[in-house]
Amino acid sequence: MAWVNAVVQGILLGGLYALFACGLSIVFGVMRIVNLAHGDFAVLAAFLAYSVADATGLGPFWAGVIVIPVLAAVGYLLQRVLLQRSLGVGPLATLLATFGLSVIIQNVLLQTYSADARALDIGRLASASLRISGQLSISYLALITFVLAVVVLVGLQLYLSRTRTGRMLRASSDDPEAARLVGADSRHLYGIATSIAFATVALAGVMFAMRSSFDPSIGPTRLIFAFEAVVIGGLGSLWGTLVGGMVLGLAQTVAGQFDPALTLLAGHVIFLAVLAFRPQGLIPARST
Amino acid sequence: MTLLEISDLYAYHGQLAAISALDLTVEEGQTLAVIGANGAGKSTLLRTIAGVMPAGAGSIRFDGRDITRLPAHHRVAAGIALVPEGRRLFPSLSVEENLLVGGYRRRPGPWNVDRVMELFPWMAQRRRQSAAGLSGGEQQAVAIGRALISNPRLLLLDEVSLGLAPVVVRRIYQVLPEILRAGTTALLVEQDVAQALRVADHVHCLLEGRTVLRGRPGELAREQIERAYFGVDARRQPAAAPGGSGSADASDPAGAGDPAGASDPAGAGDESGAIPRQAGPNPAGSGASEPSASEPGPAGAGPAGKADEEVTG
Amino acid sequence: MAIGDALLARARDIPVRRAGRSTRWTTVGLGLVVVVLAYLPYVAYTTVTDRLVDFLMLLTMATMWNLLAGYAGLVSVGQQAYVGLGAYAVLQLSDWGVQPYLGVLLAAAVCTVIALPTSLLAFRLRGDYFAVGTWVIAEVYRLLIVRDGDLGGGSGRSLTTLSGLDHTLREALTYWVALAVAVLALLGCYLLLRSRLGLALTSVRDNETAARSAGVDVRRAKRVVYLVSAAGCGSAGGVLLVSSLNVHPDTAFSVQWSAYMIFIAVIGGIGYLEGAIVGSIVFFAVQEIFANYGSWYLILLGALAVIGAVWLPRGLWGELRARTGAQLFPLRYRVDTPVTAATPVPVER
Repeated sequence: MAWVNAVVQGILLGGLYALFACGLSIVFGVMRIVNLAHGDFAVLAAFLAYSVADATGLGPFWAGVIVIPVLAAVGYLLQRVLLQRSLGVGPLATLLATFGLSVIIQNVLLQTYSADARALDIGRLASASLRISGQLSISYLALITFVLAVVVLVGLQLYLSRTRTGRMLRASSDDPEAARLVGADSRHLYGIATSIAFATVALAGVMFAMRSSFDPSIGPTRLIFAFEAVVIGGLGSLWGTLVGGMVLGLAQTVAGQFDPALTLLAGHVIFLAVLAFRPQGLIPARST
Repeated sequence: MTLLEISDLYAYHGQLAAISALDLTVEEGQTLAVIGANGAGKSTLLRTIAGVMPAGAGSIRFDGRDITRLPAHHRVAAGIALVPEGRRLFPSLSVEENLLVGGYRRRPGPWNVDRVMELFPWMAQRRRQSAAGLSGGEQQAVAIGRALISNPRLLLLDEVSLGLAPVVVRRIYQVLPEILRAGTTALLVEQDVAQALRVADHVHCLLEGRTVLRGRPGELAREQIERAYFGVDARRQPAAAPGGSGSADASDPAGAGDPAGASDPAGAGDESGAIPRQAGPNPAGSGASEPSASEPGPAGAGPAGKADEEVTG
Repeated sequence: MAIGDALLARARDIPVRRAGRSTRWTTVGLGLVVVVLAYLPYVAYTTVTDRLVDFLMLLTMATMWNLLAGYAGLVSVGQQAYVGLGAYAVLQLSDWGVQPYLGVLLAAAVCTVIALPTSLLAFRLRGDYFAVGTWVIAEVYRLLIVRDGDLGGGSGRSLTTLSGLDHTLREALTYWVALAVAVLALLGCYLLLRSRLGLALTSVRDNETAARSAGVDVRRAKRVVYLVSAAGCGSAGGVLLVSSLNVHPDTAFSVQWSAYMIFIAVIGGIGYLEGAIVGSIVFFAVQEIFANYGSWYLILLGALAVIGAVWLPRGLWGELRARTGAQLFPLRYRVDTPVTAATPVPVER
């Protein structure tokens, strides 16, 4: 029964990873760049939610509702001010600039909040769970996170396929120049893609901060998990990202069942195995 | 009324001037064909007008407004649409989505998805299919439809016939008049000279980025076009080339004539023998004797055939 | 035919070489700098040489990262894998009875061997994804080392085989080894870039598609660079161990190393061998001046990296060179007599 529990927890954890990953996937799809500070922005969102909750007395959920649009705006601005410029400089510039950004965010958070681990206090919900049997119980929070992840992915999918801007984002991902020829303002589109990425990663950061403690240094690990979910699932496919997140979560919880020290390693090994034997990912794009 | 007015335009690929000192005007409702050999700067010209390539110097005016520095998407909104070389459809979008994306900055006008599908009836049944799965000719039709849906005042068509079977090309050129009847002004680039001459009111011939000939198809002699196409004039008179003064206007018979008497085909043939002594680069050099050799056949068939080989090869 | 022969004959008579008179002087100058640096332990306090060991180690790493990014276009955020593996290789070799200073050089070989299969996996990712992929791989090596109890597991271990040496002598030897590694790294890069492969790499950097169509085996060229870079970082990791005498997996495999490499290369100038030297000097000066400001110093470095990457992509050296044409390491070919189409060269035959 402990195994069943591990599997269920792993799948639910995968939802969180997919939430971390979908922004990475969209930005890479549209702009062909990876924001190395992706994970750090999630941590930044968690700290902001912490401060908002602290200052206003609002619950963490409401603090998240405030923080997410703020991060979306930050994303749009960051794209217009910094990333757009770096795109014009050369292929290395964005990576280096976002890496510098990652170092800046980590250390600014360190200065502001110290290295102490913190958590978003959600009261009883943290321990409340749905008991299915003696050994198997599903935490409400994990369930909520998973459902949120699926809702976000479905929403994104609908946005990309049904709206005018969404279609143009896909077109621009296929061929940026041809997209400009039909009227795409690439800078604005890229800004939208970045703000979607920031909003989703902020949501992921806040959800993460409710279930476990966080400190300024954990951003890079979030980036790595998100990246692994994207590659395992297959580049450029949102459903692939969800599957990738679930595979990663499963690998971690099941291996953790054997030996807690194996948790991280197992996730990485799955990632490397996919890279070695199925580099296109489990669910490559264009299978819809 | 003048819709497009280009004056003294330069455009560069790195250090190389793909277009030099180009002047060109398109009147509203007109169909202008730009012809020229490979590397003459035709596609660069269209891309510069559409705004995906920066103008190095000079100006582009559209409907009286200076658009030289205007970003591409604003030009679409102003009414310029380019059907790019090689179609450039969005492969992960369906046929219908490709058309819808074309209407992103749609202006008021007759064209919409339904109207395009009336023009190309096969599209309706295959609207949900991925654009990547279409044949070359079908892709070209979607690409034209995608540009039309923005209801452009000026439609730029870049090498619509490139890489397509002759039958398909003929079919596309059959629909073209129907499209233009709606009042759209067109500027088309073609290597298939015969095809271009058939649909155009005006012809503009480029050689190595410069205008070498312009006029109405009916007023231009075949030899004139051949010479302009391959640059026999330009080679014979190196002094005339800079500043675009080598261009000839058909309405001015004196300008069109060649003082050195190159209308004699044998003379042109002899000229090619002198190439090794000349220092300048000469991409069309090997083809210089070809027009005079291919005596029979319709005007421009020689150059067109030659050019097609170069593209596919 | 005749024209071709005549042109070739002309071309033979135009002197084309890499080293000009000025570069010959800089070669002498660089040699002198190395001699002075080598003599330093006899005249300077160990506190000075101690700091210089750090400097030389960073210089080595930055040179290797610069080679990878500047010439092969491979941005890695995972070179700490080889820093860590190099350090642990020296530790393991010393357990097997290999003298640690010799181990530092052997660490290069060990890392090259490990880098070969690693590259097979890492090269499946392109561009930005390669960067994150190498980071994951570095994490994997860290987690594997942590599982090895003999090497100290998660809490690290000390290198004890050097404790028999006199303190001053050990410091001097460590310094010389660090200097040797740095000089070898720079010299190795220089020779590599001057070789046929260097020409291939330069062509790949300028236009990969064109290089490919000209017959350059792009993958092979990149792989060689990756291996060389692993070797250099491995030795730098070895220096890290013999200078600090203990190793902890979290420090040895810290992404901080990649951060430093990136900062140095960006500030100095990516794609110039001199860039790593200039960058290391600037980085070191900033470190010395602001070390007491804790994380503010890292914030400053991060800001410098952002500004450098976006607004000064050629780095300090690139800017200097664009203005003065200076080069310490003559890599470009130069034609001594200016030849243009306008000035015909007389055929001296």
